[in-house]
Amino acid sequence: MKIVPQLDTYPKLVRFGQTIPGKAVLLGAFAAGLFAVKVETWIELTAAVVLITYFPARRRLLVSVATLYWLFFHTDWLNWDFLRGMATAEGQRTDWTLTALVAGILAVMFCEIAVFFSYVRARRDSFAARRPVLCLVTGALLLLFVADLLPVYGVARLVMWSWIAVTLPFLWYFAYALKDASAKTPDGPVMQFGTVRPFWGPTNMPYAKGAANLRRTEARSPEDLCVTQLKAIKLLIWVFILRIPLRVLRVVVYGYPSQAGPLVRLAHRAHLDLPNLGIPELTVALQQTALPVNVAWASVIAHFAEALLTMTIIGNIVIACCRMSGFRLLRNTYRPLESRTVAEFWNRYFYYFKELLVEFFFFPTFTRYFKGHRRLRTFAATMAAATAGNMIYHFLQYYWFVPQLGIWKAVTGFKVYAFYTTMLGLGIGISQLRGQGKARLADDAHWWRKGLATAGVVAFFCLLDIFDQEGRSIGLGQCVHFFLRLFFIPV
Amino acid sequence: MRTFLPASVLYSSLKELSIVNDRLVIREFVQSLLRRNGDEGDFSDSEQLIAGGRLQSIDTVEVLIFLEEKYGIDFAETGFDQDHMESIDKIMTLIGN
Repeated sequence: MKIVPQLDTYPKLVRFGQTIPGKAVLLGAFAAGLFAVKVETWIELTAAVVLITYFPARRRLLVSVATLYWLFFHTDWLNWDFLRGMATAEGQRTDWTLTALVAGILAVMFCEIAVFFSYVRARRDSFAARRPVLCLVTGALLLLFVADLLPVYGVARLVMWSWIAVTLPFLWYFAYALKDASAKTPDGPVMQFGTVRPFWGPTNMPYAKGAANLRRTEARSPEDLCVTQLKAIKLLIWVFILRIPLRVLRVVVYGYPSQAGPLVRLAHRAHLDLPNLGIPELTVALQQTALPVNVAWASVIAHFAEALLTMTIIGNIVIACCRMSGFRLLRNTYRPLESRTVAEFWNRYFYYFKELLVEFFFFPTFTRYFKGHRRLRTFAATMAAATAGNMIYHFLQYYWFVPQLGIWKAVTGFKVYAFYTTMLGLGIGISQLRGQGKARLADDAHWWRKGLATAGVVAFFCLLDIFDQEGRSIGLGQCVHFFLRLFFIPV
Repeated sequence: MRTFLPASVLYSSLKELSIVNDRLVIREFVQSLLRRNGDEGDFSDSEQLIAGGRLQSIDTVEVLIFLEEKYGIDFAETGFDQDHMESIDKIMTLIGN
């Protein structure tokens, strides 16, 4: 039995959804869904999707227009606190002049990337054309190092760091755009623009990948569009359901009354409060030395459950918006608890991040190195993606640690995350080597065999999450200490 | 009187036969990958297997190795794009190129 009804398989509904009133009903359901799952921008998102639904021939252009709107009217993609702090520290103004600086940098950045795009198209044999992503990532890392080491102050320093703050959130989108530049028939600049921090998920992670993926997955007929939109509604229903356990977890396990919904608040008035286990969040637990072992375990498990639910909810909302816009994209998180191997979990948990690492780190390594050694080749490529690529991605994402701490401390303070990615790479690599050529444990296998396999995978990721610390406030020693105490090993 | 087929016709017939054979071999290989994942469903030559979620990245790796070994394609030279492995038709185009 399915929890969410399979709306996209009801022929009558699919036929109705292709009519004008049917489309209106679908859009209404979408708007209600966004509102119900507390998406703040539900009105704007619905407006964008309404236009795209009624003018499917202009879909890609409308995506670009909506993306432009989001770029200027939803500016939280930029770390304004960092920029204002930098401006103040350098004795510069933080008013409209800072906004003008950001706008100027944006204009220059898009012009530069358009030039690079044209260059890749025109000079396909040049190194930059063959390895555009390598050039992009190396350039970004070099820029960070240079910006920290160069003895410049005042306006020059502010401009340099503003450039970094503005460009880095676009980095992986540009990587996809440049990859598309080498395609036979890539999209032009206007269409490419719609794939750069698109309106449906303006995060640093390119959920829908690039233009090539949008071309590939675009709905081709009214029926196709209707089925895709019904799948979007299904995702929103699933998000609505998943928010309940997430809330329960936050209220009951962590004891955050502010997270409670209206029903819980009503129950509170009637003195029917939910229990409060008062389990500390993992980042807090890691810093406590006298935490009982059972509480530490509860904290680890709760953290894993919360991360899983949050990832599914966020990913589903973004993909629901993509699908409503007419793109048949795969879900970001797909039944991770049915994974039987570590590699499978990694594929099911955060699909689009995995895809980014696979495209920009795994395949370039796999096709170039250790070609005569099949197993070594797979392992090296996995380490390049899950370890090196993962580290680079997160180091660049949290660029502000470089000016805050200095480059040396920013790099050395990253050792906890480096440890995490190394263990992750080893785990996935070994899992892949063990599974190479073997069939997946069948769905009709004994329940205890499936359960055991899944439990092993969940245990691995639960424990690994202890080291998933992207910040610089928790040391490796603290994490190891906490990990050992879980197994009653005194340190 | 014996009649001989012109060499060009013979060559194009053999080439056509080889293409058909290649298509069958690749189909069989992809089918085996799907079966390994517990997917017994049928698929058309134009079906998007990666975008449709039927083939995973790790399966793409298997296809890549298969194409390297059987057809001697050097992806380090040609550049690799998962899009080229999206369907049987696209793989055939890749081999043709």
